[in-house]
Amino acid sequence: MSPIPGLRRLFRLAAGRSTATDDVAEELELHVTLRAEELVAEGRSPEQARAEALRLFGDLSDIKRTVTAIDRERERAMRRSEWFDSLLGDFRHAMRSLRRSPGFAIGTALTLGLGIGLNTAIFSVFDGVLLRPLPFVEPDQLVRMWSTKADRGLRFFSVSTADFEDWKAQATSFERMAAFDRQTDLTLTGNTDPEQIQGARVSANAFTLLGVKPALGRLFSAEEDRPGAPAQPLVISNATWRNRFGADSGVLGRVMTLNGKPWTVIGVMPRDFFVPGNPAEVWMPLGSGNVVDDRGNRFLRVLGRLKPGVSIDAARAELLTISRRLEAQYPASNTGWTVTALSLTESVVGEQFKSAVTILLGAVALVLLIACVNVATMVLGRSTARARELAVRAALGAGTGRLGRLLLAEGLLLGAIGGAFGVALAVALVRLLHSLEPPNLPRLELVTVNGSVLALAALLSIGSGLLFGLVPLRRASRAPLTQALREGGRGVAGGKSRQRTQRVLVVAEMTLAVLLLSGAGLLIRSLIHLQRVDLGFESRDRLAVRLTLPRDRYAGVEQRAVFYSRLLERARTLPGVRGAAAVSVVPLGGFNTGTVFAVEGRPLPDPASTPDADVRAATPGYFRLMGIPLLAGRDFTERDDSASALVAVISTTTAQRYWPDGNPLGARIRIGNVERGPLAEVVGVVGDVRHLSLEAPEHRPMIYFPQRSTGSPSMTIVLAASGDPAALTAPIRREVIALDPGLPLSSVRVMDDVVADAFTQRRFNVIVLGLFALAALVLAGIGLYGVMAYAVSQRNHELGVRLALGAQRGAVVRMVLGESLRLVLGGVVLGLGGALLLNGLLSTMLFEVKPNDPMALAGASALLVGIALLGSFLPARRAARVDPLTTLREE
Amino acid sequence: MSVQSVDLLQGTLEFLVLKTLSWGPMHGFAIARWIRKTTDDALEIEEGALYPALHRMERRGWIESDWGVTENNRRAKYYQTTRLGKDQLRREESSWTRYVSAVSKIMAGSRASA
Repeated sequence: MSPIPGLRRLFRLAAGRSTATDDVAEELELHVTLRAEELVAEGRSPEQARAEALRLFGDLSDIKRTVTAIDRERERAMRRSEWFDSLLGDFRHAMRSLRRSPGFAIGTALTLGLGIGLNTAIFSVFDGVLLRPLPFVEPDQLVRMWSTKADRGLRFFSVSTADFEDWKAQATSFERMAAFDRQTDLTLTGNTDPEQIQGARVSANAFTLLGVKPALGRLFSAEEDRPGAPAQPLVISNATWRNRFGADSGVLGRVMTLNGKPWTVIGVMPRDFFVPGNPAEVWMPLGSGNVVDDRGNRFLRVLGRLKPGVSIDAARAELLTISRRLEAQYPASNTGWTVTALSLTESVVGEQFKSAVTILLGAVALVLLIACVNVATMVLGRSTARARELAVRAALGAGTGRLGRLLLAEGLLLGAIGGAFGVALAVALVRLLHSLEPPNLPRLELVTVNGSVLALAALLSIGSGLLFGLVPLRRASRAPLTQALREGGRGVAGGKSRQRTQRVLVVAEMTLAVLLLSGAGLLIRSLIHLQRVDLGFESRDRLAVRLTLPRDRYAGVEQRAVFYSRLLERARTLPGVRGAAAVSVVPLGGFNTGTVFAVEGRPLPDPASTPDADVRAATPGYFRLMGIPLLAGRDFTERDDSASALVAVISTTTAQRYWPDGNPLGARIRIGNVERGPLAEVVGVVGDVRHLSLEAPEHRPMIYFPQRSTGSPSMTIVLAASGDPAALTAPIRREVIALDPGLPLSSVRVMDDVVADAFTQRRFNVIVLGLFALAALVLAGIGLYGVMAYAVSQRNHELGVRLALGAQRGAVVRMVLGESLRLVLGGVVLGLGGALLLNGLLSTMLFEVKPNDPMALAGASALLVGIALLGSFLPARRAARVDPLTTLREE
Repeated sequence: MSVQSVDLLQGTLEFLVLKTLSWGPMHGFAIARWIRKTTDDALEIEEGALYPALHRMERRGWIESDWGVTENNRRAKYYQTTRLGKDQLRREESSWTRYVSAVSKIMAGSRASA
């Protein structure tokens, strides 16, 4: 018997199948031989004995077959379990080896995690917003259409009923067309306090055009869509059904009282359904075919489904032809009006989002690039340090396959740790994204870390694991054994070319980091500039309360005027209220109303260049309350009402543009219609206010009219609070209910929040690019640390000799720092060059900052140099602490 | 030997092999001879039937084998019990003892009542 049990087993494993068969034959043959010998000893002849032995044995060949089969199976099982055992062993070994160099392990896992995490997070956005198909049948065939008047900058304008009917009748590219109007605030009364609910009217075929079936009940019939149809059917959204009816399946036939009229619920839409561009909660029939004679009255949104095989370009061309025909036919209303058609997907995702995505994509690609460069650098450094270990293992007889598995196990382990870290990071980032509620990010609710996102993360982890496992293997299998053994442990400076590669990689990293940092710097500077923009009004401690008087109960101008003055009077008496006034739309309140006008006594301009201005209705005292300076003339008074002559207050820009060298006070303007519109006398000039955007280079002309004259039903009450403005919400609600118990507040907002919302998009951009820049900075720091740490460990011997020969420790530190500083400066110079070339791409996102802003560029460079010094400080200190005796003894 | 008797004897054979090997490593022929002698040829089995049993037991990990040399200088495959095999033997011994005592009680009882 062999002295070491098990050694034989290994041998036979390697020897293969034929030996197993031979072994069985030999074993059985021995039995027969020994039995025959026994029989000979009992007195048989050798021939007889052998025959008898065989007979006693049974069917020799059958038994041989059986036994061989059993052995083969046993060997297969053994090979399997050994493979698993050694795989486990490889992973255990990898774990130990990583634990021996925690700096390397943490650095790589962190780097990979950052790269994988950012990519996973961005991919979850793509997955949710771009990849997930719209919840409609064949969404590629769906098109949204707008009226467009290019010279006025009106690209996405609503469509008049008459135009819509003509498009529908004449266009052959479409299977069908449907229309809906802008959602409006409806007052829901009945069970609880009056509430505001958003409703929209849709043509009966809109839902069928989208190809969506109701979750419950039915859709509108063509009959119900006729103008003047007696029934009042209502289709409700799934959210409305769940929130207001508790998902009651008996909701069909229930009645909702909207603006005082009963509507019967006939259908509930499925959960993810929405009408593109229309966030309504309930839908009612449009009353299609009710052609309003006025082609200039544009209020419809139009959807179409292309006929199979018709391209959107063909449809666009056809719509353009039709619009030219209408232009010739109805010059008064249609001059200059064309059609814009976008595929539904494009219109939902939006152009702003597309550009944001492009920038994000660029940023995330850069970060991943940095992460990969980083890990490659570290793995290269480590494989250099391990060249000797691998060489020793190879010399001891470990085959390339075995070594490969070992390195692969290490790579996969790193990938797995990095991947786990990355997924955690992605989850955190997606949560952050949801909490930021970025504007212009459609379908945000679909952005989640789901199965396909996790699959991508796994793919990235495994892929990078394989990659980083194979890099050192290639090196190990290429390097001549003896050379590695000789220089691996204490080579003077590693391979020269290898070091050069590492340095080039680090410089590239620094370059990318400077690029991202300077981009983020530019955005931050833009945001700061934007926050210094003069709003033209005071938002502090102001509360904006919006309400709409239903026209059926407040039919006359006088009634509506009286309601608001009574409400304001009551509001002024509330404790904590310093003042109260009202305006039709507050600055930055989100929407706009405008009019054309003409100055009386001047020749009429040609129709294309008729002056136009934004208009607001305001109550007396509004300007003072909002801190808008009165520069000339007077404010409105209580006597400016529908009975007296119409007056107007204009903004500075209006005055300067239309009375460049005269006094506008006393001038009269015709509004609405330049020939027949009512005349208003200019009685005052007030300061300009940022009404729509903080970023527009110049103010639009603004004209204010007294609310008592216009009788605007929708007004926003502005309260100046002496304390917390939000605390006034409940008291003002009580005052409104005291005046009219059936009147809901459509929105209550603190003015500071309204202003802050105007910054949201920019703040979002800053956070996103800032995060990427931060990641790049961290990665660059880790990368430099990795390179310098390995350089120092490689040169332990050299440093030891230098110190032994009397070099000062300070000089050693300076040497290491100087070397890393050379790399950093290389990166900064290249990065600044790149920034000057590429930051122009950001110019549309900048505000009062030039792409080559020296502050941003200098800040980015300084930050990087700081981080880089931090990253190389540890290796430098280690270099200075090298003990010459120890290193020299290691010889 | 008929098929049923193989099934019947399978467990017994394995038990006997484990018992035999508890004296020390042996090659196949020696095991067969030992069983033949101790059972006074009462178990009438074909000698070849031992080998599938041995290899099956090896696959289960009860015994392990190694090539060695006999006293007459012949290469032979030696078997010895493993820890697993020893445990198995102990289990079978106790269950066998229980079985035998149960059967003998029944036999004693039936004789008493007769």
